[in-house]
Amino acid sequence: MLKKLNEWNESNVKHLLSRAMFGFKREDVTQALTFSLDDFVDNILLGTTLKPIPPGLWVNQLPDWDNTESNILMYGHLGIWQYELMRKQSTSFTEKMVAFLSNHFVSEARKVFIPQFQYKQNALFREYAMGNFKELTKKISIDPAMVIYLDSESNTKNIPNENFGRELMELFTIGIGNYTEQDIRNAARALTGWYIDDLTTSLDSDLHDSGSKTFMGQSGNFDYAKIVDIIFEQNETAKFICRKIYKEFVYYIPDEAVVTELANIFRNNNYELKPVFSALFKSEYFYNDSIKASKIKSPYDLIIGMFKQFSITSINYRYIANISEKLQQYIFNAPDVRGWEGQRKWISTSLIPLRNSFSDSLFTGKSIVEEEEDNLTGDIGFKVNIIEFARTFSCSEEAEQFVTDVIDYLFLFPINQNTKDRMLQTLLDGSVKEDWSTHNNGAEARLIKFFKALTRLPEYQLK
Amino acid sequence: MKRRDFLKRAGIIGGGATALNLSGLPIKAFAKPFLNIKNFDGKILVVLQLKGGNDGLNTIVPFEDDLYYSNRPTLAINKNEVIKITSQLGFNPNMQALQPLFDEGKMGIIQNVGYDNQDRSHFRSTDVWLSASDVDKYYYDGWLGRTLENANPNYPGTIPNHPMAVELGSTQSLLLESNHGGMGISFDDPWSFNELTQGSMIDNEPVPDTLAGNELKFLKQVSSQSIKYASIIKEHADAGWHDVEYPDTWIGWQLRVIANLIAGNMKTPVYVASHWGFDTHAKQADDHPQLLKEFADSVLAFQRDIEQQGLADKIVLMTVSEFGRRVAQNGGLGTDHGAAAPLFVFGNSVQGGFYGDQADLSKLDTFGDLPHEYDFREVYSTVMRDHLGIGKSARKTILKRDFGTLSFLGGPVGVKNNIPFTFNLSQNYPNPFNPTTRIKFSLASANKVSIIVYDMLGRKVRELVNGNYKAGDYTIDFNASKGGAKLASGVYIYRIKAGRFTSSRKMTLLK
Repeated sequence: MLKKLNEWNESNVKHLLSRAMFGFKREDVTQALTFSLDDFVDNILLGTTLKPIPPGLWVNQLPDWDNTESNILMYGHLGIWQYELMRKQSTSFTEKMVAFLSNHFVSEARKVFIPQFQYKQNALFREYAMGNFKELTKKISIDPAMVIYLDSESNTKNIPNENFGRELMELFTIGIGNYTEQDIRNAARALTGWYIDDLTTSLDSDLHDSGSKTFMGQSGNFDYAKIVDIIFEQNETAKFICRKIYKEFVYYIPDEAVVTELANIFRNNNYELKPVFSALFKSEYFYNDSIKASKIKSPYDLIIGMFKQFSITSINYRYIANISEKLQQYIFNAPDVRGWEGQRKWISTSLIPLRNSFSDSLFTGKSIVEEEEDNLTGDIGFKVNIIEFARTFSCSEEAEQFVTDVIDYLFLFPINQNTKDRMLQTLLDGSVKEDWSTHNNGAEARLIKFFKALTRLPEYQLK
Repeated sequence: MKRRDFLKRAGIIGGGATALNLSGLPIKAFAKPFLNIKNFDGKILVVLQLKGGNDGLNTIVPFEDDLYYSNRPTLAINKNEVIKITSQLGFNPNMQALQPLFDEGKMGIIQNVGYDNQDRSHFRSTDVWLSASDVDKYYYDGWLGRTLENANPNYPGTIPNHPMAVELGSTQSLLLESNHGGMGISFDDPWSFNELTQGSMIDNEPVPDTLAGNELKFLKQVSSQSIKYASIIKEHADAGWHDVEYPDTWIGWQLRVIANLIAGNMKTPVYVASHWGFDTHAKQADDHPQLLKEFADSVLAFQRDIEQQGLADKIVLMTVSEFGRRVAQNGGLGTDHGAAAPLFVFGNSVQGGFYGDQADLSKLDTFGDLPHEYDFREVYSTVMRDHLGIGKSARKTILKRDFGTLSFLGGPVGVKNNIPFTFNLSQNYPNPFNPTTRIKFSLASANKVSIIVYDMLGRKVRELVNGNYKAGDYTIDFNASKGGAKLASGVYIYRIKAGRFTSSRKMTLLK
């Protein structure tokens, strides 16, 4: 059994928020500390959230396959809507879980093409964020975006298409090595006949293969729901999903003993997600020092996290969509059906400098990253109000304490004294600390330099 | 940040006047001085990954094979449109650009490449190809990462003066992973890459020995690599030039940048490029032709560019793809994941032509896929031996065991699999036949070889082979209705003579 945490303090709160949300604000930490651990995790973080207002009336309009321009426009609205939900989330796990599920049951927008379907799938993930994973797997099997994405429309009785059947097992439920190619063929047969019908999907019984199928050792006239049931009868399924949860929320190399414990909880609770996360987020294990700050931020973590940390509320999302894509996390467009792998895959010799350029741009308001032709100045149209931000720290006028407090706030990785000294020197820029004040001439330029240097530290990429 | 500010900051780290090297970085920041890169005697390998699993049969089309047409009622390439390069095989019409390269003998087509127990998952099979593993073995490094590690035993203690490998794109693939982390530098564009790294500094603060510390160490390592090499890469990109027009596509851009860097005298021995979108489950006819066109046009431009600049003798370009596709088309006008497929090598040092047999569509595995004739590691092993000059024991270390080699780079056919320990003449297939059949023979050493067909009265009716051959496995096609007087149905004898070795077998022509 996972032993329960008994010390609910600021360091632990920050760790939890950094993993269960896209960054956090100071108020979030204060708020979490007003609750007990149990209360905060079970009722606030994992508590139910209101369904957001949809991005537009268009979500209920019938799809228009020919109007590329309008589809792209609506995708733009959908993207901004999703970014804003992440940015404005209170201390809630929902949006992180929506992102996790979107990256699990991947459906790339570049192929789905119909924003109504992408929205519908996104709403399904939000509905099941803390719900039953087995039910969600059934729903996703005939979800319109998924039906388009993995070619289920061309999966018919006479000529089956294995694409969804394969990924259902390989990536969505049980993992490679736990099924045969024969199982894939029979799963594909069970899934034949589904097609897009206005805003939903329907079964065409003429195209459905209702013959007997042998699947994972059982035989019968199985439909997709029964196939999913059989997959979830396998012991390995809970482990496969909990391993993925572990890798996303704890550390990228799984600890099999903990995975097994989580899998037992998952199975014993009939594949409800909430009990798994409740156990994990309240365990002493999760708050172990060796786990803290061991995760590399995703581009969403970095971007949304900076909006929150630096209280940025007016945002040019064209720039954000562009930079997100360049940082390899283009909204609704994972690179392939496996989704973003995360951790070290977020990093390369070109992506670190790009992250640095992004963080710089929020302080300078300018970007050197190639933009649309109509923006030759590189002006991104918004930036941190740096003086105002610095003054939100009570010791903003005392250089040394200010540096310490800012570092405490911005970093989860412990920053050593050498680096702190170096950052202090950057802030002072040759002057002495007694002369520091945010009211000095040139304070703004120094603060910009200081925050650029801080957010360029490799430690800033860890959470 | 301006260079001036940067120098000032560099001064702060060093605690005063720090010596600066040419790149503007404090020398102190480097663990050890740069050493000249070990670069395989100037030989360069470009690996081009066709991502998603390229459909071999619609790339090199068996236009005389009825089974091809019956398996692909709507997807097959019309015989009239195929660019015919042998009596049986031809290019997809969108690969016009490769015909001159094939005709000039600069393109090798290695047929039926795959591995035992083909995995049909993209991800697993890509990992198998990139890490050069058996399907049941999991390696966390790539075969080129291991190759570079083997060639640069002092890395990372000493840092080569040029990047050991360059990958075009924003991320780095498993191909270049090693025990010491990524061995390559990735970027989209040498110029903007350099601009991006301005203002960052190399940070040599020690890291704590924790999980998070390991990740920090990794971040610092990648960050310092980018800072160290960005200006070097830009310098060589500036020095290079080209007169050839490249297609305005991502793959065209990648090959252009690679040629540019090589022309600019960068000593990097390994380049990695990628071409996306080959997972053609649905509506293959919409996408696949375009992908092939982009591929062929870019490769032609690249080859002509390096030829004009006198660099072509030292460069080999090789394609890899995780699998071929199923022989029969699926319900979505596409093809599902398959098994073996042809692989391509290009270059002046390549001995152009076909290697291996034409795929036999009547002999599929239980999934309806093509079995492999060559293990992909035999191809790697050949490139390692004949292009990069890597010895037998190092090849074994890198590929984890011995693999055979082929002759597409002019070297001898090596031991294993395709490699005969004895002379042999095999039974023809099919048999009985009408009018064509295939005969294989093996030579354990180079010899003058003849194969003659006799009728039952001992009269010579055909001479199939007469010439000097290197050691290796060979296949010839015998067409009874061509090459001489008409042959009647009946039993014939074919006889090989290779040095002191002779052998004969019977075959039956049944009209």
